[in-house]
Amino acid sequence: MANKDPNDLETIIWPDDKKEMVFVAGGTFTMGSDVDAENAKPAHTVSVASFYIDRWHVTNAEYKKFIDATGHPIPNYDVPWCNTHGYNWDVDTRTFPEGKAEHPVVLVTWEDALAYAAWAQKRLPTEAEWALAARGLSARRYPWGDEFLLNHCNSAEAGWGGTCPVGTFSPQGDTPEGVVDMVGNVWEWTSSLYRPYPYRPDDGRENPASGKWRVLRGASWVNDATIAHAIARLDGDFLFYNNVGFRCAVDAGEK
Amino acid sequence: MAEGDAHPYKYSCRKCPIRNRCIDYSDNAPTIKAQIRNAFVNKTDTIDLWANLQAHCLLIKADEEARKGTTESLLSKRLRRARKAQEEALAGAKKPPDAAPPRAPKKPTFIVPPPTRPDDIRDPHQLTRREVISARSSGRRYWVTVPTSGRHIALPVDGAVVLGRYDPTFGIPPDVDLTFEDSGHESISRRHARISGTGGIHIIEEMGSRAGIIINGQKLSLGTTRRLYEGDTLILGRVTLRYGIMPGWVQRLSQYPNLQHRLMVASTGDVRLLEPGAAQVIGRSDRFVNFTADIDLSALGAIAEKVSRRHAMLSYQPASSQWLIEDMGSGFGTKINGELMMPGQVHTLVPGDHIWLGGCVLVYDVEVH
Repeated sequence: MANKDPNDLETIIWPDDKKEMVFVAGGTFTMGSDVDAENAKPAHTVSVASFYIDRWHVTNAEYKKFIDATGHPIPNYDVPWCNTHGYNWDVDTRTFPEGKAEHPVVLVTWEDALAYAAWAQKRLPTEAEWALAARGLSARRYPWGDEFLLNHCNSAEAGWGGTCPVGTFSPQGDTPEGVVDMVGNVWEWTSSLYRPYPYRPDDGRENPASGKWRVLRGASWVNDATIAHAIARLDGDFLFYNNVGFRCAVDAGEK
Repeated sequence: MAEGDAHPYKYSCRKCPIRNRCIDYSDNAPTIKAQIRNAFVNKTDTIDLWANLQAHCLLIKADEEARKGTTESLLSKRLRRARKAQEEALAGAKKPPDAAPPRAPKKPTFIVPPPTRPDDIRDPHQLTRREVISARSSGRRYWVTVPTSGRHIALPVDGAVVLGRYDPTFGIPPDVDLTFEDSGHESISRRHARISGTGGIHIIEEMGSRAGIIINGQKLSLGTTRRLYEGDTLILGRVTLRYGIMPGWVQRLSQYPNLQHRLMVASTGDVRLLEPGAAQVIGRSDRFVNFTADIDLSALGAIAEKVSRRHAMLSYQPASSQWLIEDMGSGFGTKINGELMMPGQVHTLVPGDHIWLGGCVLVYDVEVH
């Protein structure tokens, strides 16, 4: 798939967190798949209004600005079920690990992601918006096309063995609109509750007050090509992980 | 490739501190990658080889990023550090040899927890040796009961089990699968809690689940552990569990004439009765090779995907009214309460034992009439 010239991208710089956002034109597209994992069945059509989505994940450096501004707790945990080594933030300086400024922030809970979004006057993308941004109106399997290609995303095949700086696989792994790292690197929190397809925005799955599991999309450096695609869904039945981050969105009409 | 600055490339691969990463990163076959590495060691690298590697050069990318005005990237920072270290080493080499080698000033680092192994039993409760020995010698065994389904979960004396649910899409089920008890609630996480035993003393640990664990009305905070005592009520999501001593009759099954041995499939709640008598093979029937297992799990579909045709064998001991289980060389192995069985190892089943067959979990239990 031919990517647009970087100068032609329809992007804006969001004033609150100085992050580049990409315009994604709304429309009706196919969500899910009839041949993939059980939780992504059946294929169905969904309509979504236009929106802006962050060009890349929220990085450590960007999350640091939020932490400094709000005094939000830093991602620092010592738990046996998740290897936080190399991802934990420094307690004294309240800073991300050295050299990881451009890595996506991980060890963030859904509530952390919401707090960041509220601070930046954004919101988390809904599952349908995420799917449209990654798959486009043509319902591609990958942001760049229908075939898995090496050196297009940070999946297990890339061999990084951890998060990588955002944009490492840009521009070849971008969507035609220029959204970076939609597949691979880290799973992304969405605002939608984990419920079976078909996706219906009005059936209560966008209820922000519910304490149930939220959908994660996009796969991470842990997953191989069987899961690293834009159709895979994961339920966030955990608080945080070393391969879970997020990006934000806003309605196209706002700014 | 000639030495010096005559080459057209910006960076010298020969001097590059992260060369191996570029090699790993390239699309070459593993054997070719090894050859490339050897070429650098033997200094027989060619300009074509550099061209191949620099197609993916992370330093060039980092440099471009830096020129765009963004903050310094990981790689350029690392390169700078490597250069600095080299310079310092050179400076140090010029000093008299008896002077202590200069060290990079140690930065105040955060305390990194040692990487924990999954089977690592942590002991924050400082169990004394005497306590452990007395618990072990008492021979008491503990189990957890689920009042709603009447299910028992035998806990290992030494070792750990993970309580959670079966996920059809990702990963494999935990040692103790609570999917059936949780059905309709969606409150149990894939990995919800871990109970680890030391000589029969059990410690429970929260595993980052969304719903959390409530013990006797008190929420267990993240990353903390708590010792379990007899009569504790544990609430995982919407499922209530009770921790207690395994009653004495469990050890003396032969005294009861009317025993009913059962196997329950943990994720669906299906119960199969075990008829005392001949040995029974647990496995997956396969009509293509005309094989029928005595206890056939093929109807379970995706859950039993990793069950071998002949996975494990159950044999009945009439004298003690107990069943023995043995792995039959299965592909994915058999675990009893979280512990993988060694080839040739035989385990005597106790009510509440969880048999993990390559992902499909069966619960052995007994009903006394």
